[in-house]
Amino acid sequence: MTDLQAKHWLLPDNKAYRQIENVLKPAFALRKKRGQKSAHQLQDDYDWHLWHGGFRLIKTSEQEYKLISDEGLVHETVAGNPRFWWEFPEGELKETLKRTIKLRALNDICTLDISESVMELLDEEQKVVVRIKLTRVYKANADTASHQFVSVLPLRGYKAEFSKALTLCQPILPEETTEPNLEYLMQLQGLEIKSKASDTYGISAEEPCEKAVLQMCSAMFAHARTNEAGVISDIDTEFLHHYRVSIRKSRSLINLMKKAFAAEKHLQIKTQLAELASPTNPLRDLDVFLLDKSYYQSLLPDTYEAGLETLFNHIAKERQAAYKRVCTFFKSRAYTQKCKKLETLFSSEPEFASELAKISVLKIAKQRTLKRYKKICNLGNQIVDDTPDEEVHELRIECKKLRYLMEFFSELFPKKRISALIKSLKSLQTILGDFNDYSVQKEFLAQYLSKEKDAQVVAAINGLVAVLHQKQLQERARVCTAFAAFSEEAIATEFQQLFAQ
Amino acid sequence: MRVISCYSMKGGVGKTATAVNIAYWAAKSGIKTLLIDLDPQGASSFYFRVRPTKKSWGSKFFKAYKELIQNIKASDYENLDVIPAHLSFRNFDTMLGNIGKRKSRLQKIMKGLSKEYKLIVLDCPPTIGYLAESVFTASDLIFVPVIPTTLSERTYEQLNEFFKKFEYKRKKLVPFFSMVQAQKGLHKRTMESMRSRYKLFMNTSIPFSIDIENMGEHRAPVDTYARNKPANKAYFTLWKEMIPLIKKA
Repeated sequence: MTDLQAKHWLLPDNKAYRQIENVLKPAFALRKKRGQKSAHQLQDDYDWHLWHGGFRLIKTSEQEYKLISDEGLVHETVAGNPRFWWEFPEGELKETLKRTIKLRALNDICTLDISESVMELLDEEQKVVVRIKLTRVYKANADTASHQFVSVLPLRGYKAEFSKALTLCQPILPEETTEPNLEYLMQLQGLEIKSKASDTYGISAEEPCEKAVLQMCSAMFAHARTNEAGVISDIDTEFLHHYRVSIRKSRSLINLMKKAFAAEKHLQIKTQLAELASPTNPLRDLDVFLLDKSYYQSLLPDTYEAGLETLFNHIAKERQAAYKRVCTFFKSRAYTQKCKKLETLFSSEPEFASELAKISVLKIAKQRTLKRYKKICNLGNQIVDDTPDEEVHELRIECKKLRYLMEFFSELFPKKRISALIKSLKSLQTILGDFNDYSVQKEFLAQYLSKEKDAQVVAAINGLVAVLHQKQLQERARVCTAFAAFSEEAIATEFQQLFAQ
Repeated sequence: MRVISCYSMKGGVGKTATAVNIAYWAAKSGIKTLLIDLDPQGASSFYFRVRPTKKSWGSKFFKAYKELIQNIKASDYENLDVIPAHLSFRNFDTMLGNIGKRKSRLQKIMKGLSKEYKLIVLDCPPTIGYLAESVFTASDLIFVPVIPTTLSERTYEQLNEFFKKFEYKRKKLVPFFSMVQAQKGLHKRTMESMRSRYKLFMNTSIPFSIDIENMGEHRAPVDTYARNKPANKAYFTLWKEMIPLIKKA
């Protein structure tokens, strides 16, 4: 913590730096360190998670990664061109990436050519007491700098020397500017910062239901489509995932608000959306399995390793085939036509052809949410430890619908209260979700039993199925307690208060 | 924040050279580091070219945290600051003798530094008085350079005895061989016998080297002027070996 603040100037011309040197020379011994021009590549994922999380990841031309944040600077030299967190060596950088970008891939956001030269001002002991930094920024492939900044940087404990240097420099410099940090330099090069993804739709409480739902669907669908290019380029698995989530959400919204539409229009939208999503099912299933490779490896003893590896190789091949099918589908005329049709449906004027179409969206949202909550309570209260799995699955689906309802219309409710309710539902959903995931994984693996001939592979599959079954039983045993926590009095009261008319 | 010290009751064993080079490598690895030169001779301050403030502030060292903060100076290296020694530090033993809770004084005064620093390196004078005792209390680890000779061996034994007698944690003591001349039979024999008696000895040892002696002339860490020399590599390896020990401490 030094109370001295660095000062910065944008230099008007090439002569200015020389002039600074001339005024400092009589007062200090100078040592100059000329910097090389080097490429600074800003890396981030598609959503700019690092940037919005307060991190700047810079890759220099020397394979050096610099992670800058309020916490300080993390340096790492990494060979090759790692794109996912798991491809980085153990350390702070890897941990931060894991937390921040998760399954996303790193991309080059932009490249800035920067050179930094330093002039050190020394005392009689030849100790550095002040630093003068010259930052030059170049446009791509340009030889001369587009902008030059000079900064006078204080060193802790050398206040008098800093003041002296400033007194000498200031008369020959223009107005001070802000620190030439990355944002500033990017701005000078005309680069725009991608804004954080919004989770609101800009609807208002009194809007007629049909109009609001169409507006929301339109936004969800547009968001889904922004992922197509990423899916085709196969940058990371999140593009397809987000695509599917957006499509699923719009389907869910249309179904939950079915009565806001004329029966025929509802059916049209519903069918079209389903036809977009289903061709991507196989690719997503395969992606999910491949992403969990190290998890599956951890479930079995080493003796199963070879069999498991073969299974993963087969699945990876199958995944490539599924990926190609999705690409063909996305590029097809039929796909474009389907999308156009949906876009027309979503952007058309409301027909107000059903009884609920004109009623305020808030009223319907409240009604639907409360109804769903009561249904869940009824279902959940009947579940005991030996209730058949189908009923647990039904509870899970109802919970998902409730979650969607609360999230879709969250902007119409007080933020803190709705978030707290969503959170209490989330804990129940995690258990129900895990319970379901195990059965999905079991089914997924079971299909390979008929396809695989190799005894080692069959053994690995059987081994995994057995372990997953045990895990599923453990999860099942937690359902009743989790439901009891969700159905407690305080939560029930809050549902009444927020959603009763 | 972790506190490590370079300590030996014997002089001229390489304490300061170790403190300077280790602090340098720590800072270079991105760890915000503060080197405190407790030795009134001010050798590590000299190596970093940091002159002490003219004011004699030693009498306030253990009393006012504010005073301590005001005397911090940036070194020429990123992430590395120094509190330079002052001749008035020679009175530390007497000063500590006159105040209560003297063993925990140093620890207490350094507490606030954790806001800014991840690592504190203490360069200590070769004495075994009250100051040394407060260093023993304040340090998470005490790195002890040992020249593999009979006299140094004896000194290390005495330090161990002292820890035992006054109930300091002996686990804190981490010895390593310093100024080693591999061609000398005595050095070899002493190293072998000491390693078998004290399991905590570090694997890395620092060779006797002209490049380390030259620190006085260059007034900078070895890495800045003898990058590819064995002495520099030895300090770097020593630092690497210290990292997990410091983390665990």
